Amino acid sequence: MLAFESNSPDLVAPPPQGGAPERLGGHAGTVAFPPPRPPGPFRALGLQFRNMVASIIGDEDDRGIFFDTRHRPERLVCALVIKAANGLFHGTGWLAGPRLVVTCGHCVFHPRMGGWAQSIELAPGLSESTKPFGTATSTRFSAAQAWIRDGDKAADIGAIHLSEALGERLGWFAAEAIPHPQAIVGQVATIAGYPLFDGGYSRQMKHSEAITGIAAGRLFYPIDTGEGQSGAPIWLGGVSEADPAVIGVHAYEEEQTPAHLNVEANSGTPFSQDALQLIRTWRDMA
Amino acid sequence: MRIMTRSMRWSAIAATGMSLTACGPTGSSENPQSAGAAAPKVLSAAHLGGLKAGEASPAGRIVIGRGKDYEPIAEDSAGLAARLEKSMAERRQIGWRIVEAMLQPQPLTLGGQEFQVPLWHTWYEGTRGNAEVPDKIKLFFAKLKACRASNCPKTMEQIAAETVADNDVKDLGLSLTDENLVRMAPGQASGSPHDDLGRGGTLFSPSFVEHILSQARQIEGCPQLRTDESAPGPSPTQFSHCLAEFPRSAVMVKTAWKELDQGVPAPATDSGAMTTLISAGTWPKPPPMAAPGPDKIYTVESTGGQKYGLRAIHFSTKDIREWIWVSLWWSPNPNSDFGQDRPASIARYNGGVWANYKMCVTTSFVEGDPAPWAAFEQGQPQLAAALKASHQALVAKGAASPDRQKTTWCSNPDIETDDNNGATNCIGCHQYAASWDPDVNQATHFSFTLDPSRQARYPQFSRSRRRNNFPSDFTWTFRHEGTPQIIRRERERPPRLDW
Repeated sequence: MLAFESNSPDLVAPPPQGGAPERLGGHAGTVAFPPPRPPGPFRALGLQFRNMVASIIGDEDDRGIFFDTRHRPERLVCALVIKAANGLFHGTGWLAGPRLVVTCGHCVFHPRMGGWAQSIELAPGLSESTKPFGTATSTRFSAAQAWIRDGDKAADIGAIHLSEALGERLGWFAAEAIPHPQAIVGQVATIAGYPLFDGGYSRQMKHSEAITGIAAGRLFYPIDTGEGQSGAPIWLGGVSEADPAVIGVHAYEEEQTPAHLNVEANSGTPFSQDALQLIRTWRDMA
Repeated sequence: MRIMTRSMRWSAIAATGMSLTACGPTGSSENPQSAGAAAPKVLSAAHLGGLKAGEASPAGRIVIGRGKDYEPIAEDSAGLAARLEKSMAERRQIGWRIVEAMLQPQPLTLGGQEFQVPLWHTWYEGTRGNAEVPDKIKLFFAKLKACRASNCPKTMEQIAAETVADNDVKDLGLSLTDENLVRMAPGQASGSPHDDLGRGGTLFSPSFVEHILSQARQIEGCPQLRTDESAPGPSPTQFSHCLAEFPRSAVMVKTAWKELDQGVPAPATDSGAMTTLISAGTWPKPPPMAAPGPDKIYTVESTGGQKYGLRAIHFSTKDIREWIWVSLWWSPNPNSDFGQDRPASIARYNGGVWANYKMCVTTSFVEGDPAPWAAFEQGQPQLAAALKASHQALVAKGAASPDRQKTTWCSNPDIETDDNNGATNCIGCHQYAASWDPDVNQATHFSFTLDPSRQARYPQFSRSRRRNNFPSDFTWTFRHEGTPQIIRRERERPPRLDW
């Protein structure tokens, strides 16, 4: 298991249980809403334009906005407002247990934040001004030791420990380890999170693209992301997956992609079995 | 795909201990600002650069409430247009009034200091760089699709209004980056109209953006229109076959910035210079330069610590159907010629820096004032001389042209810098926006209008009125910022929406 550190003395690891897992099960939660309507087709208004101009001007932002966040998996994704000694930050996390929100390590600990976050307010399924499940605030965090001590980007994973069993109501994501890097190269993956968009961090956005590869313990992909999406879940499949399993957390933008890889890609921390064991430990601690 | 930068966003303002620069008088030009005006404060994003490239954002946030819409002149549009066409004096009075409306201060408190950001600077940036309009289009379609999926009863217009009103703040930290400001610093003599005329930063008022959204279906089809230039508009109150005309509160803004340490163009616009300009058709290259300090020119400091001065700016308001075209340029001698009638009240804003700008304005293709200079001969003789010189040169040019139109003039020496662009008049060029050029069977690019070999199609380098309809209501953004294509992309993004 990856070693970890916490900011609170009451966060004690439970006795180890079994070997490193390949999969951690999710939970459906107990909150029920009418199922979302299937998308489209929309009614045609009778006006069609043909021979549209093919060229697109400028760069494209391919992320879509998802407003109905009452259902899984949207409600399992949390907008984070991080208060730290050096100011206010924004990030994303996701429910991974009854009292556990997983994010990247640098959302809970970063030297430039002044060390550990002081508190984090999270809003599951935030959608503009609507907080369908309210907010929760935590002051108890953990992060992989290699991230805290060495800034190891391959270990950039962290935990927010909740006092309320939010996950029992809303559910939590399943998580899976990536068995072999080559097994997922070219597969479509999705990232859902809360980037800065139109002046705020209040809209859940998703985008899917094929995974580029894994190198130096990091997962690379051309999925569009933005500021505020650190810690967002990465899952295999498209944006409409109803019950996806998370395979990593988004952490870095293109500027942090090593030049020698010669790829245009963002990157995140992929889940090994050791990482899953760490998440299981965090889940059982809280 | 747009690869964004940085994942976790620095959002602190008050806690960062940033330094904001209040600059003293370092410029060399005459100082026209009123005595007692507060010293200008330079809005700075440099403090946000403290977090260098890494896991936390170096860009940061300078969040300001989006300014209100422009309040159009309380006068019947047609009556106003007729009045202005006949009188240069009234035209210029309205021009300065519009400038003052655009400068209305929007308060911003940073680090305990209060800044006054001009109204126009809080509006929506166009489709390049800090692309706020495309974000609104994306948000609009997401809302529209969600509404359709749930059979909600809202109209397109209602959703457009909600989209513009929603979370309506502007992050100046994203705007004041070197990348964005350099992009809005057109070169003086690159020789490439495609580069220079197409550069510069656009901003649009809230009602302009809302109209884009509510007319999205029509705008998406604009590139397919091939309306003959002689065809009348679809109705007496609509001259565009593509979209409903913009509301009177709509405003288009174009800005041109310059790194202050590189100097700022200082064009002459006196009577002699105007005669030369109209005759030659092109502003002098290279232009004379000056070195104003931040106390003399509207200045911002980028995230990288570079100071940029606003060397020129266009304001186009839909007060009248064919828009009022106002243009300002910085001058080291701001109280002469085109600055001689500037109201003293302009010096009230931003510590007086706006008193260093000159202004031209046009509201029609044809000059309807038989002696545009006459009203200024007594009180503002240099302005009168410059107007007289330009008018007489234009009349001479018009008489020599096949269409013999006596046209207006308004050309910004810091924006309209390409060949044959110095003697143009804003409205003329914009009449061709989103039009189709049958000679070459392609959409009109505004550089076509400056091509001497195309003057049969674009007489007097576009100054003359040629069209009876105006496909995009005079807005080049549909052609040169790709608005229809952005609309189509967001409409077709899954789940696709069919109109």
